[in-house]
Amino acid sequence: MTGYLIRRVIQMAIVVLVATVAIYGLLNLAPGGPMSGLNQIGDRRQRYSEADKARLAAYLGLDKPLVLRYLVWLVGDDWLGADYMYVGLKPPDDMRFWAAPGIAYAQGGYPIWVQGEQVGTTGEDDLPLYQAHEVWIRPKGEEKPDDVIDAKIIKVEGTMIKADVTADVVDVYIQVSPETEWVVPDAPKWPEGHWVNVSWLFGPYGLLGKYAHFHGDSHGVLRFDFGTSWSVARGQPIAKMMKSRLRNTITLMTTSTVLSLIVAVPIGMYSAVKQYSKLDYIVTTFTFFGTAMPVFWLGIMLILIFSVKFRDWGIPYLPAGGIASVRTPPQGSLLRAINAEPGGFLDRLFHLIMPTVTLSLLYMAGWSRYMRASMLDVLRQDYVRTARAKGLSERLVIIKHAMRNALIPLVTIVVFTIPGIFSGATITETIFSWQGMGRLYYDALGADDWPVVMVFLYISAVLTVIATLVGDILYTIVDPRIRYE
Amino acid sequence: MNEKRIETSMAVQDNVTRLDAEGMLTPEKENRFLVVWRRFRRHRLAVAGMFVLIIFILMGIFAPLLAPYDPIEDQDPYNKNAPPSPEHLLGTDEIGRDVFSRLLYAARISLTVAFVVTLLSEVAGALIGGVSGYFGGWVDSLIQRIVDFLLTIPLLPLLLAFSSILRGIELPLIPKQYTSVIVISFILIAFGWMGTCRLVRGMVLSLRSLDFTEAARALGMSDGRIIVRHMIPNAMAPIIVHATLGLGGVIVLESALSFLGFGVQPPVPTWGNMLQAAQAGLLGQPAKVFYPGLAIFLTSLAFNYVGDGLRDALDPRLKL
Repeated sequence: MTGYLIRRVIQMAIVVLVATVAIYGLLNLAPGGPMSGLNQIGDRRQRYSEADKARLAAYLGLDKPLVLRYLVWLVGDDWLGADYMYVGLKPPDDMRFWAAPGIAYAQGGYPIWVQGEQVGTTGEDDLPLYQAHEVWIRPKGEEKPDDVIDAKIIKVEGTMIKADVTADVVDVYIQVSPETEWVVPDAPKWPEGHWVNVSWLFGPYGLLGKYAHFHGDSHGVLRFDFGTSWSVARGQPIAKMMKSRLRNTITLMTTSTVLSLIVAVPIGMYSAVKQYSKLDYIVTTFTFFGTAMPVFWLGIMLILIFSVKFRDWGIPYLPAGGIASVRTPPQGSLLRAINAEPGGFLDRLFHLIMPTVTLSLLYMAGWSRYMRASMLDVLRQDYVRTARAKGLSERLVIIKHAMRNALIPLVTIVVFTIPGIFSGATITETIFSWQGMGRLYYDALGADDWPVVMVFLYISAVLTVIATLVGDILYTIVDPRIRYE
Repeated sequence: MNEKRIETSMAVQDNVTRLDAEGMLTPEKENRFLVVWRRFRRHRLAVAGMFVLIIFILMGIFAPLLAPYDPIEDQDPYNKNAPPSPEHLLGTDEIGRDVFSRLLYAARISLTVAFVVTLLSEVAGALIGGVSGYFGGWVDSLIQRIVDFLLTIPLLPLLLAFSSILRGIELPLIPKQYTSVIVISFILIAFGWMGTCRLVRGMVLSLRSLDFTEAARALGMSDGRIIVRHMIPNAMAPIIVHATLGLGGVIVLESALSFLGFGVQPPVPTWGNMLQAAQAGLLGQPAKVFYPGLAIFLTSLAFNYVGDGLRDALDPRLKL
């Protein structure tokens, strides 16, 4: 069994990995997304320019290729920026690369000063001085551009720059001391502690420099860094967003799952043992109603009857939605009648009633059917007859011999509530304005908030594979003949 | 002479054993369908459910004869959201079309999609699950990991991703307006068989260690035949429950697809998209949700009873 478990865990990891690739790909390949529909504004002046769009894409990280984006999402990008240069007056203690302000970048058009005198200007484009690049250097005082001396910077050592000037075939040493006018007045003043990526791979001039503008602060979902939301709650850490909702969802889902199990198993067993009895017919019809009714319809009908109509009729009515009351409940409501304190236990409990009933009816109906069907199946098997022939009491036969085997289909179905306890019930949560995970997923999907959607689906995927493993282990407990070796 | 006698006696004995074996293997040659039907008939509600389904199917087939109005063309802009009246049996919808006619026409697509998808995904799931559970080992691991993978893929983004690709395709020999119906059915089957697969596999894992499987194997039955003749029939109970529970879901799911602009497009009525359209005015005119909802509900209910009856009728252990 241990060997089997180890193999399973490895397989599960692979499945989750492949699933995240597929989900990430799907989200990004699907039409729509945060960049679509930006210009559907009637007023021409309010439209986004191409530059705005490019900036937005860069902010959201959409300017990078899909593969890189996925990798960063999975494992983070902090390790990519291992070669970061610190630009500041004082270097921190454990620094591999350090530069005084202004030296990390020599921006296009800035003059280069030698021993306090300007000898030349860098080229049009931004140039990092940590790499040998060609620059234009010309003697001081020269006006005409064709007198420009072709020079090549060979080496940069701290504040020392060595350039090879081809025209005179002499080496020119460019000494830059921190207090010299290396930085021209309009040059950007790097704040103290600015970081410049000098990685050979992901630095601005590295091999993949085009895509290198990672923020360098994400650790990736594998290290439990779930990132920040794009649009549902812009800039908020997703972990924090989910935490508050998770509590609500877990409350709702565990309550309804446990309640359904407690009711469904005995009901299913009873209607199997007493097949075609009156109670069986009643239960059967009741469960068929439960499964045939759409959830949203059932939920709305409950609200209509127990909140709206009850209030009209003057009966203490149930809260129509939400998790807890904010202020003292209005006169005539059930919460007022029992004197529930807003936000207290009783208050929460009564808010829980209708969503739980809605969900439980749905689960119960299905689960009791499975239980009844497999129970009927098992009751006719030889070993049950043998158990009866041995003279065991009917109760013992049913509970000890028949029920265990009849549980197999139910186990298959019920373990899939494990991801459900995390992911919640979208429709029910929407109807009863229950601030849970299902509602969050629905909102995030609608708002193209991919980081939130991805985290949601990633955790659901992990829980789904765990659920199948739990199911397989439970099979061996329910039926010891099942072996996987 | 002595030898001869022994030979004949052996021959006789041989005949006797063969006769016995044949007699045991094939009891009375009775039409299997008739047996199932005889058992099915005993379940009154199942028979009633079957009649309801047949009526619905006939109503769909003969919709052009039964419907008083055209479901798409006949719009009465001066008579929107009308209550039921002699002219419009169930009233009119938000742009003045006859709800009754639309319901009849909608039955065609909704029922076809629901039945085809349910049937095929159950069959596919049962076969794959049977193979997975029966062989075990790496076959089981591979199939179950594929199932895990498919279970983790969310349906909604998937459909969005596929919608633009699949909307444009044209299938040979099929009229254009039905292409989307076939594509939807295909997708719903492709992503609907995993539940059955897990259920059947769980059952087969338990069944394969039972004596009758050993016996079948000892008799030289091929693996494929054991799966089809012994494993799947014994796992029939959860399959039928799963199918009956899923049928109503398929009709509603089809409406969710329509809502995304991917399913059957709105002017063509289906119960699903009628329900979707009516939801907008739910609190104002609850009755409009009621009719398509009732149709889905009745189909689902009828199918549940039929499933229940079928389960009893197909039970291999039940001898009547």
